[in-house]
Amino acid sequence: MISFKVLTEEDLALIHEKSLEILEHTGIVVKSRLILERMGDAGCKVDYDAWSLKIPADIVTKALNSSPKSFTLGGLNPDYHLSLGTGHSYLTTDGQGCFVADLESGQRRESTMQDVADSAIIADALDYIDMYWPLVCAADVAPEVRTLRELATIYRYTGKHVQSDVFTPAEVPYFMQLLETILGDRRQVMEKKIFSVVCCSVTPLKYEEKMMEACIELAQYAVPINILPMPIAGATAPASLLSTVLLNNVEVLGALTIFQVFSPGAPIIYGSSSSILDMKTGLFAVGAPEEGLLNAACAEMARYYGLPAFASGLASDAKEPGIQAALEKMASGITPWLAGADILGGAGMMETCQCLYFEQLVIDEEIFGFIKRIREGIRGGGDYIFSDLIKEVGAGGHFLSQKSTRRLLRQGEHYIPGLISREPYEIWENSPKKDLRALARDRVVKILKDRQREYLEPAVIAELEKIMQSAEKELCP
Amino acid sequence: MFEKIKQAILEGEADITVDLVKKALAEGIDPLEILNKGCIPGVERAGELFEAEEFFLPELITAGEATKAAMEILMPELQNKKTGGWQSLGKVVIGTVEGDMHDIGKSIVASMLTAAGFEVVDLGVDVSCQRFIEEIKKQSPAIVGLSALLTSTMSKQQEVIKALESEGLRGQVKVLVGGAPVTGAWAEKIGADGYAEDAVAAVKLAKKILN
Ligand code: B12
Repeated sequence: MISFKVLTEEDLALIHEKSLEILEHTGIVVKSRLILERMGDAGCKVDYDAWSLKIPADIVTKALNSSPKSFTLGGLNPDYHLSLGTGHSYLTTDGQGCFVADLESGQRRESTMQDVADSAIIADALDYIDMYWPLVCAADVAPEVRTLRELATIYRYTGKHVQSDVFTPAEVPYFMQLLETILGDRRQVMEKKIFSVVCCSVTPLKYEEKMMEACIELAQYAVPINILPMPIAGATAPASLLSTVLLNNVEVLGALTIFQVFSPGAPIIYGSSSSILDMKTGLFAVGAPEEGLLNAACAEMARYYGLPAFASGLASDAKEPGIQAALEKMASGITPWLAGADILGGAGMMETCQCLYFEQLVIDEEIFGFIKRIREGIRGGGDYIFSDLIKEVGAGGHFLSQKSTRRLLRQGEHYIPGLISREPYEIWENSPKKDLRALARDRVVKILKDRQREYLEPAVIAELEKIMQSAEKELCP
Repeated sequence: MFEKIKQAILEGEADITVDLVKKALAEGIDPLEILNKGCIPGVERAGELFEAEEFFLPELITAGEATKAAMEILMPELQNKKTGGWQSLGKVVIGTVEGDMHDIGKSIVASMLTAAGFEVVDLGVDVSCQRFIEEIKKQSPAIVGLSALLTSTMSKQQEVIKALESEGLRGQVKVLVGGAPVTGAWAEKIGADGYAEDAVAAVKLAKKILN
């Protein structure tokens, strides 16, 4: 397995040291009495006027020690599980776009619940995707219950692990009711971990109180939390990439310490979704080479602490599938993947985390296939040095009919592409491979048409609907 | 002297700009002339260089900030003289709507508007509808800018527009909207006066809408 490093041992240690310094002396800001009181009791310095929280190094260290180094994310289908912290790497769909390129018309439009369902079906069918994060928001649902409704829909269509967003503590009891109804009881929910949440910090050094409080509650039920800062180098973070990693690290440690103080042993994922501001347009750019470097470096920081890492990648600023998308996704995907992130995000998303292209899910499968093959590296050692064979065949001749050739192909020595074309010109000219995007689209259409699997029983679906109705009554004005 | 001020602004050196402006005033140079021959050409040149893709955004923003620092010294002088010779392009109240913490896009728009010669009041993030209305009453801006980055907070833009209508203020202020999920179609639907996809477009739009 190839692994490469973007940070030196000295830089890793420096980031850690400076993070502790910033947490202790500058601190973080979170406008929550609940959090400040509890952290104050735990020995932090709190200031209720500024809502500031200064965390001494020993409390951070203790939190790092109680944060589990490995745990498993489950799915409704027991075959799909992600063993984090064990050296395996997994891929997830990207999350929370606001637009969709319509499969029929190709037009970009606002995303709906149908798109959430469709993308869950496709993600379920594609082998290379290990986990589903609602690729888009259901804008046709009341915002107060949107994530809940999305969840109730998604579990019907995918057996893979689901990651979602949470906004307020008021959603939490409904999350739990939905999950308990799906799995049978609370113990199963805590054990199987079919659901995890994203928690973003508000770079620089701030957190949203409601989101934090909701996560604190979910942590009690062992719901894994992916702490996901999005520092923008040059805008919400210093232009220096190393310092952007530092800020990401400070914010992960800050939230992690809070969650560990409330629930020691709560499963935490060290996330990063960092990139740069494009200084010509003044917009966030995720297809940049720096994106790969930043998130690779953050994954290394996670490993430095022995924590599971989530890294954004396979990202693109392109407005539609094509040359730009392919090159950006390859560059931003391979870097954090080689750095050993446990989970890589990005599949399916385009236009700077904003627009879902269903066919891109299929194209990304191929890009990811390349990346995975590269990471597997060259199998080395005496077993793979066929010097005797070379001597035997001698000058001239060929290796096509050798047993070892057959064997190694079966063992995946060569990657077999699924989408791209290697046909000769004349065949290519008249084959569907002439238009890879159309080919990818056909595959998507077929997946949606052939779908048979429904993961939930009708009685459970009816029960979920009842829960949603009471949620609507309580949460919608 | 004017050339030096212009240069200091182009280099984004607020302290040097302020020193030069103070020196010029001490020498008895007319504040309006300092403004028109030093500051404005400096910040305008920065804008041109940015549009020509020779300047990076931070270079434009620091030029805008240097100009703003100079203005803070020049304004009282200009008012003393009662020449009334200079006016900002217009006052803009801007903020990110309630429930939304996305800060930087709105701040870039604010900086660019400042650099272009608008007087900008930035209300920050998570700004309630009520707060927008209060500030609009207090500041009487020509333009209000509403930023929303989440599908779930876009409706707050509409809420502000409705509140402006019910308060009888809608006729007095132009409403511009922006943010990642916002589109021209949405702006039209909620009855905003305009939408811009980035900060450069926002400045152009603000200028156009006041003409
Ligand atoms: C950075 C970022 C964050 C940071 C913001 C940090 C900060 N201090 O500002 C943090 C981490 C806090 C964050 C949090 C969240 N985010 Co966010 N975030 C982004 C991201 C990646 C970039 C936004 C950005 O700063 N862009 C750079 C600036 C310069 O661009 P801009 O904001 O678009 O602004 C330009 C134009 O839009 C325009 N403009 C902007 N405002 C205005 C106003 C006017 C009047 C005009 C004329 C023009 C204009 O001009 C600007 C300058 O050129 C976007 C993705 C994206 N592509 O936008 C997601 C994104 C907006 N976030 C998203 C989500 C889901 C979230 C969270 C819910 C995630 C979570 N579970 O925690 C939270 C919600 C927090 C909240 N309550 O607001 C989704 C939105 C999905 C949706 N459909 O609603 C997006 C699209 C990404 C995604 N797919 O996940 N986020």
